[in-house]
Amino acid sequence: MGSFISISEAAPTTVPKRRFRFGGILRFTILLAVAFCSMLGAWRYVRKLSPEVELYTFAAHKKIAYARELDKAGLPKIVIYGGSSCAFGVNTDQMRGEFHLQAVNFGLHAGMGPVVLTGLALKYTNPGDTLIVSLEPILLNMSFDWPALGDQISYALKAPDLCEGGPLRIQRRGAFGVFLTLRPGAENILRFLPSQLRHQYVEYPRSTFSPSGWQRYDVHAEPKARGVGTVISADSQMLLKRLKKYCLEHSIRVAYAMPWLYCDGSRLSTYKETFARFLYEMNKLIPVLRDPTLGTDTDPNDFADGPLHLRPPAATRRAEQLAKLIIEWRTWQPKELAKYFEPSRSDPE
Amino acid sequence: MNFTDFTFWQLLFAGCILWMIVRITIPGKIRGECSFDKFALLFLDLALIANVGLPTFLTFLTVSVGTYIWLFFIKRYPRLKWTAPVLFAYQLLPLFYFKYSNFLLNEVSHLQIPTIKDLLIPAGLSFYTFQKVAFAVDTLHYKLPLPKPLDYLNFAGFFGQIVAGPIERRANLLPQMENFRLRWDLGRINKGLSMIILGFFFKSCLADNLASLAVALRTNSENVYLIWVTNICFGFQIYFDFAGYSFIALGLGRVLGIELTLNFRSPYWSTSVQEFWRRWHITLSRWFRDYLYIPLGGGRTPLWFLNVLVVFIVSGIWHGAGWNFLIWGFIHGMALVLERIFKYPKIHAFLGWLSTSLIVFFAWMFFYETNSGMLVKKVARVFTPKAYTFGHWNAAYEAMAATQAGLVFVMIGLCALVLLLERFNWSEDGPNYSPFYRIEFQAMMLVVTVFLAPVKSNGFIYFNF
Repeated sequence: MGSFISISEAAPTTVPKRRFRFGGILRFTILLAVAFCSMLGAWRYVRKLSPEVELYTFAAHKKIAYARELDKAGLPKIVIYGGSSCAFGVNTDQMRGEFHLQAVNFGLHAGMGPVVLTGLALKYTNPGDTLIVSLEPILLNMSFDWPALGDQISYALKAPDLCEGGPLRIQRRGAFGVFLTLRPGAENILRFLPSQLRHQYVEYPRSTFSPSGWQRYDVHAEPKARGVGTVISADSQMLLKRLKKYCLEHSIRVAYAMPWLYCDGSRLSTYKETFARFLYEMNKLIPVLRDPTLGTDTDPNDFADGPLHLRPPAATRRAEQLAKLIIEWRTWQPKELAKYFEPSRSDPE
Repeated sequence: MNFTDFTFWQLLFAGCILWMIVRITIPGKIRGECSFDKFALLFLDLALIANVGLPTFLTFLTVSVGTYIWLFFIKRYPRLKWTAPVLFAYQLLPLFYFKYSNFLLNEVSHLQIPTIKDLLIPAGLSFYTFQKVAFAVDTLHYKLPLPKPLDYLNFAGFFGQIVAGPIERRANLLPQMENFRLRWDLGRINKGLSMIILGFFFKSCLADNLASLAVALRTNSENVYLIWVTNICFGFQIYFDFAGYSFIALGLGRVLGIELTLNFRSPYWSTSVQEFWRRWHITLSRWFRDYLYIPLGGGRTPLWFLNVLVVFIVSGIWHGAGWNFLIWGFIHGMALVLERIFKYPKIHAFLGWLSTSLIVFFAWMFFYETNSGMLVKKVARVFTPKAYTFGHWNAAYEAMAATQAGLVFVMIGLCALVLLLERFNWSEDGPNYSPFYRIEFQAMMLVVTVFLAPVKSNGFIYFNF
């Protein structure tokens, strides 16, 4: 085979002498300082120039302030939380005005992830309050992705504990590395910075948030129907079980309310069957409010800029319906949901 | 063992702290006598491999320990030398089972065995299997002594090279492991850290951003310009991904006082495919040269071109079990054969570089496109002269502008800058990365990486191999 072990390729086997170099220490210190300052600069950039972080931190502060104001009155309140479908879709102003419910809408950005959203809402829910979970099904279909936006907003709110679900304390792998997510990334900078520099809104204006947290946004674009998975991931099941346990221990009433999703009217029965399956699974974990639509909405005019973002009239209708369900505390029974589909024999009744 | 996973660094740091604490408590003389540092390094290696997953750990032990025991018996009882081919089969068996059984039995033979579908390949299997085969061949062919078990295990399992190479040889790594003692040399640590910074810049800043682009653009099979942009994005991505990993591995080794082999030397400035393979994944190329090409007869037989083709087809299959990888290897093999027959890259360096780049970036299409229907469409499009119109160019630009044009231009521009820096420090054999170790560049790379690296990192591409 020839001599293929080349002597020149072999590394020297002699051990180098120990040397002390001041230049080495200086270099190391400079690079460490550069890394540290870059991280600080990146975090400052995210805090000031990332429109998503800026807007949703503002929104979260507004919702927290409103929740505290309600607490001062001493009456039990209703905390409704989820992603943007919740922010747009529940007119909590109406719930207070017409039904005298002390409701606060903690809907923020679904991209923050279910753990941070749940942690934030739970942190401002007291014993005797009602917590309505209105997380988007797609967030619950998947395993936790621990999105950076959730970490960034948690830190912007000076509440890093939210990264682990606040009071739920959900352990996450590599938790110490969370601070590494407090950076913008090229995609964020190149997507947002040009518009930011031109002072153009790249997200929604701050004025869209009402004091109670509802996001009023009256535009219209034709929505495109989307599917929903029927499975609740193991991670989400764990989250919801912990949430239920926590609520039981702290005398908090909890239920799930399905967001309204635009559905193609010609396939309504298929959608209802799918949504019923999802809610059937959900019902095994926490009670589900008895919304007869099951979350289906076939009117495209009800939607603003997406198939989950309701326009104000639809958000008001949904709020009225939710208010009645909460007052009467009407929840689905498994058998009722099962009527929409044939449950497999292994499913418990 | 994902170097971009924070858990890896936590474990490594915790392991090193423990190492230091125990080291301080043991008197120096005893420490030397009981080879404390070697045991500590082995403990760290095994802990890090076990952290990847149990199948990875067990497969690693099966291949590595099995190889040693087998060689031990052959050395002890020379009449067992005839079992050497069985040893090679034993070494290659896990690789065939995990990586090729589905392709050979289900896709080629149509046996449709469900149990071998979707098998997860233990991390680093292709790399350490090749390392162990080389070790066994060297030990038996050159009648070299078997090292002590501790030194062998450190050689076989050094965490920096176990998952994605470099595929280290006995001649380079084993003597270092035999003489291993932990020493703190600030100059060496600084050099190691510089390599780690360079590696992270390549991987996290360049490769990870290019990955999102390559994925976004990959669905197009109509516009020929977009196909080429995808090929370029993927070509840059795979280079910076793998070179980045290799630099981190080299840097970690350097910090501990272990010199691993440089796996890349500015391959995209090669003026021939042959030169490309002297600069791309160097340790694998050398492995194929020394353990396959030369034993087949090398370039000195009349059928040398068949040897070249065999080597490159096997290289293609090593990268993945699929027809596309096989064709990728064949394209490179054919290019090399044609180069040697017609000697066209020697006409002019620029023409050589251009033809090499065209071949290499065209061939990447077979690497990333695993959907055969799409692949056929893309190849047909690339070879359709009518597809190269100004109208298609405009459409490609609009398609990019509609998605992430800024990111495409910034990332390709940044990659081009890095390649230019490599070019300015060009040398035939020496490393081409020395400007990157200068403190001003290191500082710049740190800042750019912190700001531009995506907040969620992708896995290393070569982990799949």
